[in-house]
Amino acid sequence: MTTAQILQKARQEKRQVLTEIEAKQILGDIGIPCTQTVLAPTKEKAVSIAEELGYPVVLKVSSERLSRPL
Amino acid sequence: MKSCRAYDSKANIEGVSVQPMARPGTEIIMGMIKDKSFGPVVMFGLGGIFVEVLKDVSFRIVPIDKEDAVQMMEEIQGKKLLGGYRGKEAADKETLQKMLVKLSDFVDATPGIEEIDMNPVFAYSEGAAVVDARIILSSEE
Repeated sequence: MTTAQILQKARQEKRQVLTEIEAKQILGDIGIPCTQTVLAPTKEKAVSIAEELGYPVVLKVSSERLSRPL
Repeated sequence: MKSCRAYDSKANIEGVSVQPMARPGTEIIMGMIKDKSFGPVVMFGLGGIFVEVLKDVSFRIVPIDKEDAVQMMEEIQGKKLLGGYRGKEAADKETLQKMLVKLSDFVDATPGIEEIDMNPVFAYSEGAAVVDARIILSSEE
């Protein structure tokens, strides 16, 4: 998604806080280097992404309502 | 995830974000806030205890150019830490300056952003990486 699309989607969903993944996507697009961050909807997907990225990895809960990991 | 759901059952958890554990570097924070009088300002500082305890940060009104970014990095009390200390690697100031200008350019060109928080950014002798980031949109007028 482009920056404009991310902002539009958040507006439509009446969200003011972007997720970490959305924020890094936008910053990455303007040339600010961010750690590669991928959403895993399931445990299995988290494992396969982790294997792809290479261990060690950091996992954080991704939610539109909880903006800071607990 | 269980504790998150217990904390807020409406949390709408979409999953977990997975990212490689970044190699530690000099901890930096960068961001943008909207000042009541001046409008959008960009911020630069050392991360960790330097921002939490010492509030060692510098600000500039958007838009900024490269020279402003250089000055922002010179203004913080702990600027010597950017040059490397006790065997720690120096921070790549050139990269950090470019990041500040890019942040300012983005904010200047994009209305509706209330706050950007990049904390921490790890700076290395070559390059840097934003490890955690948050963007807050303005409430709709």
